[in-house]
Amino acid sequence: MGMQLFLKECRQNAKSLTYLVYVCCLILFYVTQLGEVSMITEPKPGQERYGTMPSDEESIQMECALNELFQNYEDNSYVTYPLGFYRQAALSDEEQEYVRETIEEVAGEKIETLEESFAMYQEEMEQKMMEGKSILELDTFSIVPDETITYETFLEKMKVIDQMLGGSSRFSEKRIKSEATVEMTYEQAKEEYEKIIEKDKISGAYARLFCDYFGILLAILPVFLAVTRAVRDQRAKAFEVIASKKISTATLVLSRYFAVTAAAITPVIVLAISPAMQTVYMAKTMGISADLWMYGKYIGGWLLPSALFSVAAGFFFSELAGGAAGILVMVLFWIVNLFQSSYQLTGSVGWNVMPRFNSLGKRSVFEGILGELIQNRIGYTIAAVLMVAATIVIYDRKRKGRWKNGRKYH
Amino acid sequence: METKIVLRDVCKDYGRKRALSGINLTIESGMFGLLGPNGAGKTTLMKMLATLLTKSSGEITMCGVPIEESRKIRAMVGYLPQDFSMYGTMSVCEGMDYIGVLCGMEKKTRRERIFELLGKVNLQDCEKKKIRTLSGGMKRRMGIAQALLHDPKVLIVDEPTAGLDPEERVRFRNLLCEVAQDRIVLLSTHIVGDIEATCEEIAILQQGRILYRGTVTELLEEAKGSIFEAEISRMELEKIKERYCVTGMISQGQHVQVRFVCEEKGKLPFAGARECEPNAEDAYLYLMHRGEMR
Repeated sequence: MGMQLFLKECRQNAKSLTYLVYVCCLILFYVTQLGEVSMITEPKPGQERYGTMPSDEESIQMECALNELFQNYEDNSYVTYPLGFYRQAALSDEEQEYVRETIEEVAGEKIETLEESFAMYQEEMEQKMMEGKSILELDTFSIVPDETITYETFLEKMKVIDQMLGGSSRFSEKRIKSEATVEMTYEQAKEEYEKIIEKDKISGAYARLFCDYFGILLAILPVFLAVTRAVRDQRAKAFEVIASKKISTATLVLSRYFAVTAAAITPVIVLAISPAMQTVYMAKTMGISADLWMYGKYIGGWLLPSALFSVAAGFFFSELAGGAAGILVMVLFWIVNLFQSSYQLTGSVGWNVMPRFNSLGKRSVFEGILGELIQNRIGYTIAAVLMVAATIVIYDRKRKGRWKNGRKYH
Repeated sequence: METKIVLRDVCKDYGRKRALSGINLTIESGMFGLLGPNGAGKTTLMKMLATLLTKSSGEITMCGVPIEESRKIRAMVGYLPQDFSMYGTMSVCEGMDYIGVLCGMEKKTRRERIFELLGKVNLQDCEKKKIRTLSGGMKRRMGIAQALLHDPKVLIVDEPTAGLDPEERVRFRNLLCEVAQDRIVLLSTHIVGDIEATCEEIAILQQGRILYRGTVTELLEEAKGSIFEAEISRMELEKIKERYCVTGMISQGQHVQVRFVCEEKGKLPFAGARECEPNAEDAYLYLMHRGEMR
């Protein structure tokens, strides 16, 4: 009974206008964001730059944060992310005075000296640019923290500034640690490249980027499919007829749930075929045997939990509160998650519904977050299972007239 | 197992409001009519029997199965709600097939039954038609076909003829009588004519209580001697309306032919009035307004 109903539900979903719009959105997004696949090239000795990589060195973390603090102090403009939302904050004269004292203490130099050095650097940069030199050839301006300042003392001082800014600023311990980057050397770049060849088989690197983009969409768009399905019975005035039939509530809800999830993920799989084939071809030209199923593995492990979760949320909130409540709840949840990840587009995971990895390659970063990513994806899958179970309970109560329009009877 | 529905002291409350109170009924095979004014509790009772509402107290068994065993009950009940519809984008055949799957029927059986039932309800030429394009009467006929799809022992139809034209109504009533031969057909309506034409056994509900339980013949018998008719002038009409329950009137120039209920049996209410044979509508109104008349 379940399989027959699943197939009938799939057919119904495929015919709906909402689904057509859904597929169009995915295609449009794919064409505009992922249309071209750029080549991964082997690093050569003597290149100007090899890119950056995150650093867990305390001195680097201190240096990065100190330089950012100096820039923010000069402009009196500090970026914070309350509840994940971007906000620019300005400090009072008294607070600016405290920041100045902190910079002087950490840098071991007067602010006037630092400002002079910065002005000289800018002048030098302008001159070199006028001579037609590349910016990449220039050394970057950097204030190095005083050796007497320990990492713990530094974090304490930054914590005060973070609190002054209302928290969630660039100077919170979490961001000091996560946002420190360092230029890669040739050896490091070479090592990174070899990992992409050996472990990612080229395809994995592209699949991560694919998942990053489609993760954003799959965290929200399937909700529309789920809500459309959930309210269809009421809109068609078919609820009583369906509810009075023999089928068990679990079979009914699960058939519908899996049919919507299948409808949500199928176009993503279809859209992945082209980039997957391109990477296979690319790997072949580089003399590497690519993993043909790498995209499938990434979609299954990374994107499927997002689809499972958003479809479950759509069903659950629609049954719980009636109407399009699921859309409202998930849009808010999605916006918060989107802004939360906006400060770090590569490697921000946590409990974000859309883990971000907006970089090609960076296998080391991926390996660093893999554990967290697995935990995140399992977490959302469990949440989806719980919501589906709750949907079954609510729907069953509705069938018996014990729950109506979000109100509980008896 | 005996085909029988038994209700013992059944009550239903919506919050503080009591919708059904102490319902005791035994319904056996054949057509059974449930009559009552709007808001009497008919739909509540129908929904309870279709497992779409739970009772607040009392006991209901259907063919020996307690109503709490909803899956077993659903397997033996076919339900046509007051406002039947299905997904408008589906064709009649697709809609029926979808319902067949919900009833747990095999593909082959579904095909055979759909073909047979669409023929029975005269919709064989509409199987490819979208449900949203069906007329009200066609939709009701499809409704009865879907309710009969899994060959239920009990068929529950709630206000099936409301909004139908006279021809469709007669056709629908005949269809119900046909299918009632080997099962219980529980027909709920506020249209007395539907009951009179189809049911022998009836119950009348008023304000959540059973006001009458018996046959239509017994009901007519009860009203016998209380129904009168008279030809009166228009001037007297208001007076008659005030004193009696008027069940019908025909204007004839300055005169009116009235039919009314007078509780004092065997006694002419006024000169010129004559006793007449009650019809079901008279008997129903007699019962509903008994005790109210002066």
